[in-house]
Amino acid sequence: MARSIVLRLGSPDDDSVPGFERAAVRCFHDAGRLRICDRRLAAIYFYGYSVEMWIKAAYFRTLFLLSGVPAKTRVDVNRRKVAVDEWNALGLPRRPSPHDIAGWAELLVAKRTSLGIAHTTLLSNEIANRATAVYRNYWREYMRYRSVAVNLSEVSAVRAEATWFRTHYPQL
Amino acid sequence: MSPPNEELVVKLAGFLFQPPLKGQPFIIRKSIGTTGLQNLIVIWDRWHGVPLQERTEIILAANDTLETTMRANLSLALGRTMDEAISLGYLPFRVEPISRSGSSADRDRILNALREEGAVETGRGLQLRFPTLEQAQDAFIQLEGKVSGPHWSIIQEVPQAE
Repeated sequence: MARSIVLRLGSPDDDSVPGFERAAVRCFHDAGRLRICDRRLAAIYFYGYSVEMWIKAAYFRTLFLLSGVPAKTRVDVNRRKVAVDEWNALGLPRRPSPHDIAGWAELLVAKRTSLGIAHTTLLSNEIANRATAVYRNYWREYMRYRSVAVNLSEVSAVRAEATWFRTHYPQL
Repeated sequence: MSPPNEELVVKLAGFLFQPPLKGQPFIIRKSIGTTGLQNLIVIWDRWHGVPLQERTEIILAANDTLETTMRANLSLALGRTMDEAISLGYLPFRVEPISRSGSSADRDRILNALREEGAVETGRGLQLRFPTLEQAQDAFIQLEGKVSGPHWSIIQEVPQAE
């Protein structure tokens, strides 16, 4: 008999930076295949998730590296809550919700700045603006419950942003 | 920089020097801990048609034109339209009439009062929004002065929890 999916997936609290990185790459490739099959909405859904995973992986990768914590440390719900609870101290005007990739991009930039390893001004704003473009115009995590028509140019726009995050991940 | 963008730099520099007492642009400045750096968010409908990264360049350029004492050391310099700012959660405080029933004259007075305080037409209808509770309370007082009675409420939208 097959083991249950719960056993195979492990706990939601077992997430880690390497896990996020693998998920980002997998979502990006799945999105590409869906795009070729003209499954446009599903392609956007996966491209958006890859952006989310790269941003969150970059955030915790930096945090763990500077704190001397092993890279494979679990990114549990509590760690994510601590991260977003810092929004005010980090000079952000709003508290990001769990899948708010625009807010998490701002959090990543502000956290690195506070730790003394700021991105260049150009890169920091590009991270925030590109994540905002995806989150504002194309992607929400709850789109899995909806059915809306999207055109090919929208898929291409999200793909371009996801490709940018993939290419620039080492610098994020 | 293109001439339309140069015009925006000049206009924005004026607002950074002296922010408007009422209405747009909303200029949100927040310090990042003790780094000496600031995040600056400019919420302004003049951004319509300007790509996001160009807005950043305009804000940075406007900041650079200020005298040294006024100039901020910026990390994030983000420009968002009202509609974008509302959907992204930068303007969580909303002042709105409690009831839209009543005579059409009453409704007109309410809508005019909202517009005078800076309400804008959005995808969700006419909205009067603010980044802080203090600004919303100031508008609330102004609105009560214009259309008295139990007409107004302040609503805070909160992001979805983890």
